[in-house]
Amino acid sequence: MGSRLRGNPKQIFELFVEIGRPSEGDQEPFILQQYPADYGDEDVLKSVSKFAFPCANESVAVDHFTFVLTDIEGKFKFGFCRHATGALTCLCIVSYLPWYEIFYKLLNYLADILNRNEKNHIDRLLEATHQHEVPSPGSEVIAVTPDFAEKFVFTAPNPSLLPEIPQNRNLTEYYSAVSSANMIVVFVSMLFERRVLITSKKLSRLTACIHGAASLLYPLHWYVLSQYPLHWYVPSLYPLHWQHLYIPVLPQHLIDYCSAPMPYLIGIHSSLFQVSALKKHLRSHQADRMMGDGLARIFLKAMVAILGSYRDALRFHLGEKITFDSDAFVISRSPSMKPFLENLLQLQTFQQFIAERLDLLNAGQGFMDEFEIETNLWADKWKTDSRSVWGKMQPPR
Amino acid sequence: MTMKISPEEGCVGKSSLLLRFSDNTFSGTYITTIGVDFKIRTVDIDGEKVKLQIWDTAGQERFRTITSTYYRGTHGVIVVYDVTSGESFANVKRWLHEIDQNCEVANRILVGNKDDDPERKVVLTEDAAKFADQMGIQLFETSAKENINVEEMFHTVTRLVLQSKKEQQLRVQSQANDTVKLGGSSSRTKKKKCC
Repeated sequence: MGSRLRGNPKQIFELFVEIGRPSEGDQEPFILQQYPADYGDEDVLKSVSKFAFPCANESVAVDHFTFVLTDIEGKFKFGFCRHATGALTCLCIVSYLPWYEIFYKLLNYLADILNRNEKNHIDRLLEATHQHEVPSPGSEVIAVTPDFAEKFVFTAPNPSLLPEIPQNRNLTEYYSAVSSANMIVVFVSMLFERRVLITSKKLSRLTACIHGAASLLYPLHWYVLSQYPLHWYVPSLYPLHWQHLYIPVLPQHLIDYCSAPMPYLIGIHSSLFQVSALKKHLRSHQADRMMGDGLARIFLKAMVAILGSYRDALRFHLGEKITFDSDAFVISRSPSMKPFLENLLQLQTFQQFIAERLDLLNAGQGFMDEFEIETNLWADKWKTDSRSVWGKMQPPR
Repeated sequence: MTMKISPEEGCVGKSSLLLRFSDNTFSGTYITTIGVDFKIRTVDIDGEKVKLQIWDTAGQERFRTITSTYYRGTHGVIVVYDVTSGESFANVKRWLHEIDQNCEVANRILVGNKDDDPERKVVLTEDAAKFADQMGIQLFETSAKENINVEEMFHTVTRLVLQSKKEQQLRVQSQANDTVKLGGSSSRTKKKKCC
């Protein structure tokens, strides 16, 4: 599968660590405490401290950011971090689930308990959360310590919804930090699998912008198979997935990796990047129209206009597997679009997208997501064939 | 010059080949941390010093097709399979056909790694050599574990890339000689495109 998320993770989170800030420049950050004590992934244990302190940076307020580790199979682990003003330590949770808001809330709660000096409560609350089964979308989780002293409550995100402003912190930050012109530049650069480097003097803004930018083109959602309502956490097919390097914050010791010759999306703290600072960001005056999923939907519509005609190029013969006809795809839109669509065929993400849609169709599995819904609306508006073709391909319910 | 080590099925020993190649065995590996790794070494080719950068990325086996955006900016590609896995060889065949279609210029080399136990070997040298011949590329059978043929392989691919760079330079020069310059500002550096 093209998704970079691990399907069906066993736990809500994998690891919690408290990391000590190095007191002098040449010292390295170090782990003060961890849960679970027997956590076995040495690569992760070795990396978390350096990713939690990617540069010598004092936070001016409570700062939340999320780094990403990529394993040998190319799957992501998310490291949610909390730095506080003047604090000597950083709290960090590692999970396969990209639940930013939930883990930031949990980190705040854990920091509260630490400030109260009740360390044994920390372990108990972490244990209660760690042992809780991974909830289905939209359901409520209540993790309580055995003595009822501490309680953490949250609602599992619904992976089939588009990210919303202001609830989604990454997208909200991205929208307020980056001008619409630059958002389009990033969008197109990612679509064409270029090397994209983002820099900021705030770690929270830096990683929020990377995750936010990625979510407009490649929402890290899961996908809910229509006939298996219980298999919630099948990674999403919706609609493309970034197939290349994804490093929302690159620590100082890995700075040379910016010279990688393949496509990437990398974030670097501006103290490590001396060429230029980000321009003053422009704010749109139409902010109210971007509330809710407005902003995400605008970009989704752009994706539909670009990709939606893939359905017109599906070939359907009785008794044979459904295939994709590249030549038909290239001429599916106006002649001026032809060179653009030819380029699209060369993209790793696009080939992967087509391969997956074909697999699903040939396995007789129907699917419907926000992308396909928008594609139907588009097809209705422009009266293309894709709607009727699509109807034939959906398996009978 | 930059080069990429390309895909394989499961573990064919790309990372071990890279480690063997590296000057500094203590430099560590980041492929399981950020999904990418690179090593640098200076190689001496006929008295000429060439600084070689080799890149390796994680999880390419999930790709059914490898598109040209992945090769953009590279001078050469080392395609590795495991001589003890027929499946890895089949994948490599498909990928090489695709690179052939997708890339304008690519110096490629085919490497069958883990060639250290005749009893476990399933991809026969003759079959691999025949395929390499068809594709017009060189085949090397190596063992990163026993350090067999690794040096030779890296030297050959470096020589290959160096040669094609020189040919390209000559072409650009001879083109420049044929051109009548109109004014000083019209000269534009031609962007070199390596896939």
